[in-house]
Amino acid sequence: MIPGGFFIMSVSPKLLITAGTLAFCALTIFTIKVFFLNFPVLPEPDSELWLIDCRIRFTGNRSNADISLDLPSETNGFYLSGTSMTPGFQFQQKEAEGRILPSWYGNPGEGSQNIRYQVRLVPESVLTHTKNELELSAVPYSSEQEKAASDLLKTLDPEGKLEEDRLILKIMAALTKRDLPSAQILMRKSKNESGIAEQTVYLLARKGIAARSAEGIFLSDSRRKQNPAVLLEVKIKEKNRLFDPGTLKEIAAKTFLPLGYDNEPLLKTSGVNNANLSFSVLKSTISAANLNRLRGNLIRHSFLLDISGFNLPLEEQSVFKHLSLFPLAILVIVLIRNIIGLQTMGTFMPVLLALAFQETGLKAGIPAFFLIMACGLAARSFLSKLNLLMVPRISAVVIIVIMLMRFFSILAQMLGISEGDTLTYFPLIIIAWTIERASMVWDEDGAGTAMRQLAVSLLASLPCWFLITNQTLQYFFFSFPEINLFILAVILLIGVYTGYRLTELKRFHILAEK
Amino acid sequence: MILSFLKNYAPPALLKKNGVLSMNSRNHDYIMKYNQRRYFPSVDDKLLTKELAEKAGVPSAELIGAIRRTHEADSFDEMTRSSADGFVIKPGHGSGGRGILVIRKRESESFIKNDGTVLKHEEIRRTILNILSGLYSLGGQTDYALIEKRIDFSKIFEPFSFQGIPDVRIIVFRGYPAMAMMRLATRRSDGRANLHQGAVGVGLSIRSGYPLNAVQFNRPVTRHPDTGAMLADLRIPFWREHLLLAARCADIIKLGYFGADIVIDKVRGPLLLELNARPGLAIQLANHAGLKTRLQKIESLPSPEALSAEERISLVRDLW
Repeated sequence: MIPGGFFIMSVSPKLLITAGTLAFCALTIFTIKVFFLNFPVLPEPDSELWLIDCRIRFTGNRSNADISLDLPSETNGFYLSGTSMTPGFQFQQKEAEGRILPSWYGNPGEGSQNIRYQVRLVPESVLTHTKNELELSAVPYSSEQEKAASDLLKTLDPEGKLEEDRLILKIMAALTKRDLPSAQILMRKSKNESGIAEQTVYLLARKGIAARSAEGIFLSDSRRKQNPAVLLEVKIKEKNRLFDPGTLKEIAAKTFLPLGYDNEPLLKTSGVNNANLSFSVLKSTISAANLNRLRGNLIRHSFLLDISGFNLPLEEQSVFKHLSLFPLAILVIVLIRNIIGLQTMGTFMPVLLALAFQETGLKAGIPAFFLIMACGLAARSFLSKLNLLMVPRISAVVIIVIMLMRFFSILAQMLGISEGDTLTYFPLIIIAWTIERASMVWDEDGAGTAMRQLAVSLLASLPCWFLITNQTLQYFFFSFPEINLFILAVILLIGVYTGYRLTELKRFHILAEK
Repeated sequence: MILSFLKNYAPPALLKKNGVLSMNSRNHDYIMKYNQRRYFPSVDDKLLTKELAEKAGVPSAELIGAIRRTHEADSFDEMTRSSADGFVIKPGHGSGGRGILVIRKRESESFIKNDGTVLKHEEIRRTILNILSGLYSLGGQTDYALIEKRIDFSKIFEPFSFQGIPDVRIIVFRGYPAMAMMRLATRRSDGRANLHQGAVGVGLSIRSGYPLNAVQFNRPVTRHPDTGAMLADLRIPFWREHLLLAARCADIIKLGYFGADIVIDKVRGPLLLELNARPGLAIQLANHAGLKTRLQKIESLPSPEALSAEERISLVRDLW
């Protein structure tokens, strides 16, 4: 039953453009946040958050120390966000070309020392995710090494038909064992894992395979104190795969966090001895809203996040969390009044009532509301016998309401009813005005009308209460405040709805005959 | 059960077909479009309305005086000393008949209300103070009290009304009378002429002023619930004057859409009681006809400035 007559609107182009623009902006921002910045639409109770403790150990030698780390600002689908946990040094953090460069400067004196730097890994969004392109490495071989390389490859893969991954594992095994003379020549300079990785890169480059060595850490919970590992990253069939020269196994890309490539040092020091970098990895959980806040801090330059409020101090954020559902409740009021056509006592009284119920809960709130209204109306009817002018009369009602609230709270406490203090949450002035209006309607149109209007107001406050106490909606509206623009657009359109209200269908139903 | 529930609701398409004006449409398409806010005071302020009406030769109840300050509240006594046939105290910015006190007769220091209740000086003073404090005014702003001679209403409507003055409400759009009804007070409405309080609304033919249909609480009635009079027997004298008076108001107040409330004085004939910039929609139920059809028809008629009030009413009397 949706006849055309019900949806008559006389929409001017100006209004249509305004509402359309608002709705378009809302949906655009929303889409960007959901699909490109990876804001979860629904609150996820526990998002994963990796915490990495970087520990730099060193021995001071009484001279001024200059210690710095060179970390990527994003890698493997994460943003890195670091904080120094070490006082006593001049700490500085630069960001350049996708790297974070925290540095400590100061005189540590003598003896063994620690610097701690904590990194949070914030799951990255799609928009800014850049894939590192692997390129074919240049090979700086002498003629002796050149010959050894071709010998080794010929020995390991005489027919040239081995699959890339098999070949890589074979090369690394040969370079590790060094029982072939060619392998010995290639591994003459450095015999550790980064040496193996480096030589494998060169050998693969000769076969036309792009590869590089990647230094980083393993992401698995509670791996305390790991030193950075060097892996081999190879591009095979358009996919980057990781191989560990230490264990001679392929490593799943998700479990490794590359921090630097091609033997660029992660740690640079001067003025200290025996510097050593180790990491502890810890998996923790974080609420979706907090995760969004972290994301907001990281991409501060993105205005979308500035206006979503995650950069506000926590205290103000909690204020806005309460306010964030107001527009939705107001929309409900607009619907109730202009589409359904119910008259409430005071336009926004139901919203304020719902706000009070949010604090008190319905079970305690509704009886408390009736109690205070009944007593207030009784007081008001007594006052009307005193022939007071309006302003003093309303003021008297306000004072009586205050005293009633106090009285009932104390009484409830004495009787051991814990809900007694809920009364204090009712907005005083609103209650006083409601009492005034109710008593006027009572005088003018009778008790029935007054009670009906009060009941309608109470009824209208229930959907509002349901909406503003809904955790999911609260998260949604706080994370996507742009939806308010959409609500605004809807309200603008309702503003020109000239069709029948639901109550008018009943009121005028005899006019439908003919 | 759902079906019987739905039976009480009209399909909106049918209402639209019958040209029923909705509240949203009244506000948006007529009041907002044709009534500029700055002209509202000319109808919301009853003294101003009276002055404007007087200038245009539209008769209204005789003014006794106005009380604007609390300390002048007692002066009503002095003002009304010579008004032995009674007087009316009403808020200057009141609406819906609220706060109106009708004194039928004054006998030295006692004031007799319409229903026979005797009031003392102090009680009338309290009414005035309530008016001044803004109790009955729109938005609660401070107000003044208007004192007028009581209209000595014609006895011809006596069988049709339970106390109260029956009045004729005419909706005027662009200077043309669009729809009319008579409002009859009942016991349920406590002697007041407001339809939502239970007064009987009788739809009147624009052409003849004859009754067409009647409702109380949105339901059809044929007799007055208290006096038992057949509503079909209702005849309005001076019908043309009623229409003329209403149409003339459009020339003085610059509102495109309003309701004019008219009463008949025994001696002076039809008098303007008050104007309303937001007339209610119940008139459609009283007439058993949609208002929107008529308003749309009137929108196609010539501009009201081009025609005199006489020409305008003769135009619409042929339409409906």
